[in-house]
Amino acid sequence: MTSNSVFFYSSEFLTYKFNKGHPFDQLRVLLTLDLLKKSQYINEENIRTPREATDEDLLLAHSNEYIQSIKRASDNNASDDDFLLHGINSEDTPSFKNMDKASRVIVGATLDAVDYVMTNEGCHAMNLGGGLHHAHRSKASGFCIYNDISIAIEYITRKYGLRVLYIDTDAHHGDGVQWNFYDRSDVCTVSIHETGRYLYPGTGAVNERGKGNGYGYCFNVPLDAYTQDESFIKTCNEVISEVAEFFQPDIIITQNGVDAHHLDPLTHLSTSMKPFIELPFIAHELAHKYCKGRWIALGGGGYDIWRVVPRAWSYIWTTMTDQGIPIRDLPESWIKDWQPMTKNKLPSLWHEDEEVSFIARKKDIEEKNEMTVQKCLQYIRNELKRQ
Amino acid sequence: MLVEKMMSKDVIVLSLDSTVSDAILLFDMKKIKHLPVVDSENNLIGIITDKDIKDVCPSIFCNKNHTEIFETKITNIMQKTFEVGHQLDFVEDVAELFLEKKLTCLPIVKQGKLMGIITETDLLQTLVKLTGAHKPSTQLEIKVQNNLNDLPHIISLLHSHCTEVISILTYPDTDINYKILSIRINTMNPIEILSSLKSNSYNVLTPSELIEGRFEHD
Ligand SMILES: [Zn+2]
Ligand SMILES: [Zn+2]
Repeated sequence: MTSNSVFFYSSEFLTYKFNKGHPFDQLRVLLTLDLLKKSQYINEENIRTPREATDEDLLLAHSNEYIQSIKRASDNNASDDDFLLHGINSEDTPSFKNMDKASRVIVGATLDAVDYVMTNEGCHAMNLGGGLHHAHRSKASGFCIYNDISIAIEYITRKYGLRVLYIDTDAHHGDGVQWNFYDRSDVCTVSIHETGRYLYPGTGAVNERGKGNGYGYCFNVPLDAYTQDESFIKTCNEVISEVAEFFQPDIIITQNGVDAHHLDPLTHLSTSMKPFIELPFIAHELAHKYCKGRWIALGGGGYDIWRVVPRAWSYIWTTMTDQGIPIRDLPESWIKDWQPMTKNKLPSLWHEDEEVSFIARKKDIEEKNEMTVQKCLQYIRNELKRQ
Repeated sequence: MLVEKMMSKDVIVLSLDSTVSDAILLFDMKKIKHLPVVDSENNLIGIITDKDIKDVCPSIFCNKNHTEIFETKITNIMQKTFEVGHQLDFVEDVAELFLEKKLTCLPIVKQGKLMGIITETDLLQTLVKLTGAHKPSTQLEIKVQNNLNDLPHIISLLHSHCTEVISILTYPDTDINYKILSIRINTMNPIEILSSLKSNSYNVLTPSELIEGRFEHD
């Protein structure tokens, strides 16, 4: 097995926990790692312990006032105006003990992944604890505190001067990252997500294309609810490859939210496991085609942490390490160890036939999605034709 | 909302001695579509759009050299009669004026001096702001009776979930006895709120209409 890819993990990821009953649960990272270990897809030497991000790191994408507030909220949960201003103690991001430290380790892991890839130790790295795309410069939002993605992209452009392609296939729009680089032409953001009609954060319309120098370097594809596999995969394939051809990136960062799955409680895209097998292949191929392999894969949303996330995220690792697509049985020991912790019946196979619900307006939805893709890509399609 | 709250105040302008080529350069560099022309005292004298320029510029299919066109003074081709607005106008009135006169921009003046400009883009941005869609939020849509008697109860339900309301607006339903109440709330996780609205028999609209194909026959 090729071993020049690394998986960043720290047990401190598990301390990033808002409150009981909150849907965001980093146990899913451990569940994934344990599944990979027990299926012998990963060895100890592939697992790295990340550093903790410094103030200097955080300042790459956050205001000092915000960082100070998060520090203060780490041992004080009494709401005040300053917390309100920074989104702390909202329903989605309540304060919790050590929230500053827990959030910093996640950022540190993403930055370590960057350095690992940039110092040519190996060309792929993964941090499933990261991918917190909703955090804004001075506001916690949508379960996200520090935006490890924005920090890492800023770090790459300043330290290494590379052109970064950011690909976000979470079911929610990658708003925090988009707005942070909205006027930049050296960072290209692509977000493919469920339309904001009934879904947080509501932004990510196809006409959000960037501003000033960054106009034309921001791509959004809002897909209809109940898009399902075929249209979702087709869209991702077309959009991601055409944007990569247009932008010619030096490095690719993917946000691998897996909340588009039909079991996910928060969204309505209603896919099976298939897109999560396909998507890492697309990223992997493009990274080798344009970026000398430089690819950093991050986590993201995923709220069915038992039945969906561990398998869906394992595919990223097996793809990154050229181990193919896992099939057949999940390791018995994994099921035995974790089944007692959940009422959901854990899957027993890597690939189970999933029942696809009947959608009366499937054809309409697919047609609408195709039109959205056309609108999203019209400028670069004209451009590529001209060359 | 008043016009002065939404107009662009840093207006890029042309002066009386600007030429067609100055205008082309500015349209190109600043990616805008309208340029007011002002005198040295900032009095608004005329206005020129990128379409006016296209109308006077030679076609690319024409081989002859037309340098004299590019040196034409802008004052010779600008629009000298045009609509203007005032800072204290209401945005609704301005929007109607845009519709009625098919405007694409409206300069705002005070005693003849240019104070700002409103374009179609500004109007649309204001619409987005009015709906609250520019802030991260989840949109709930509830079909309610026209008299909105349910509103206080709905708000108190949201309140009991400690949910911050970002914006509220209503629009008419296809059934004239009903309105759609559209509420934006500051959470990514509306599961409990949705179930509590439903258990109180509110008609919450969801994308499941697509599964059942309900609006196909509307
Ligand atoms: Zn998500
Ligand atoms: Zn590779």
